[in-house]
Amino acid sequence: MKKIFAQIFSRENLLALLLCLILIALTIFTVDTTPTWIYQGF
Amino acid sequence: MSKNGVNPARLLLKAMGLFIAFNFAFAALDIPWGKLSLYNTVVPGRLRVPYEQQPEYYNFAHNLPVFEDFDAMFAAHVIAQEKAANEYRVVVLGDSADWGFHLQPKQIFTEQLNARHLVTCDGKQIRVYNLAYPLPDVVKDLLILDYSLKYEPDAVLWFVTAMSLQDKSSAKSLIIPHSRRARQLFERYNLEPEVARHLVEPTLWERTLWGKRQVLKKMITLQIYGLGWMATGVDFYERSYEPVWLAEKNPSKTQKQANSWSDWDFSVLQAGYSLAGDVKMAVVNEPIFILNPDDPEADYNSRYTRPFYDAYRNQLQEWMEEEGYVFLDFWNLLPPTGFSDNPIHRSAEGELLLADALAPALLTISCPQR
Repeated sequence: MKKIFAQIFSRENLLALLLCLILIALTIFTVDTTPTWIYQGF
Repeated sequence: MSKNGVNPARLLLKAMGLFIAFNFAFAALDIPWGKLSLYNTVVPGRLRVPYEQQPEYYNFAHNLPVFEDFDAMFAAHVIAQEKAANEYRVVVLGDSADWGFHLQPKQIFTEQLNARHLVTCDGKQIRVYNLAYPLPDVVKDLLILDYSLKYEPDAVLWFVTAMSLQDKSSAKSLIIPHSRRARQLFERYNLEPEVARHLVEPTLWERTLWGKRQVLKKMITLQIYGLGWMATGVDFYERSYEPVWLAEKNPSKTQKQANSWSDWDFSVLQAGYSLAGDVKMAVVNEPIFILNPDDPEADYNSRYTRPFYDAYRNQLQEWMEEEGYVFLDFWNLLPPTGFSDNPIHRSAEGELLLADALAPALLTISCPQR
C-alpha cells in the first residue's frame, strides 16, 4: 500500500500535476474576454 | 535522462495527459462552477446583474458580463441571498433602460423603491430586485424569468418597449449559451421565435475546460471585481454623452431607425405568464422620450415613428385587456429631462419619477383587495 502511495505521489507525478495546473491557469488567464457586441444586427 | 528520478520527457507527457484528462472530466462532470461565488458572503451581492459592454471599462466599473453562465450571474446578485420570512420579493425584467445605463446602482428606480420601505397590506416588506439585462428582447427576458423563479419571487414587473417585442435574432449571442433550456421553453409553450433557428447545443469540445476558458476567466475576474464593488459601490463606468433632448433636436446627429415591423405577437409574454404560474405579474410599458409632445403629426423620437409606436401600444393594451392582465402604461410618464443618452435610457430624475409612479402600483399588486 505504502509502495503504491509512493508511486502515485512520486516527485515526477507531483511535478506533472503542477505543470498541468500551470497549463490550466495559462489556458484560462490568457484568453481574450472581449464580449460579443450584443447590439450587433439590432 | 533523469535527475532525482524525474524524466523530463515523461514528465511532459504525464502533464499533457493530465491536462487532457482534466479537460474531458470537466466536460463530463458538468459541475455548476458558477455557484461558487464570493458574493453575498465575502463581498456584498450586486444590486443589478453584472454587465459592462466594453472591456476597457471593466477595471473602472468593477464589472463584466457573465451572461453565458446564469449560475455565476445570479450568484453575484443580491437576489441569491436567502429570502426573509417577511419579505415580499419583486423581480424586475427589462433592458438597458431598466438595468440603469448611465446610472449608479443607488440611482436606479428599483433602489429608489427599496429606499421607500414599502410594506404590503399583510405587513411584508417589499424588496425589489433588478434583473434587467441590456438589449430589449422578451425571449431573453423569458430565460431570465425562468431562472429567477428558483429565488421565489412573489411578483414580477416585466418592462417592455416596442423593440422588445420585435421578433429578431440579434439577441442570439445571449440566448445560444442557454440553447437547451430555451428549446425546452419554446417547445413547452409552442413558441417559434426567429432566434430558435440559431440554437445549438455545445459540442463536447466546447464543454471542455479549453472550450469554456473564456467564461471561466470572466467568472473568476468577476469575483476579483467584487472587491472593487464592495469598496466603492460603483458598478458602471460613467462616460460622457449628449442628452437625448439636445441630440434629437438636431436631425443630423440622430440616426432615424426604420420601423417596418407590424406583426405584433405577444406569445412570449403569454409564455411568461404561464411560466410564472401563481407569481403575480404586471407588464410595464417603458417611458419613451417624446420630442414634440404638442405636435400630433411628429414622430415621437428618432427610434419610434408615431404610427409604428401607436400600433404597438394599442395592440399591446388590447391584448392585455383581453387577457385580463395588469398593464402599467408609462409611455409618456417622463419629461424630456427624464432621459439620458437615448430615447429609452432614463436619467436619475426619470428614475425618481418612475419610482413615484410604480410605488402605488406595487402596493396594489401586492395587495389586490386594497
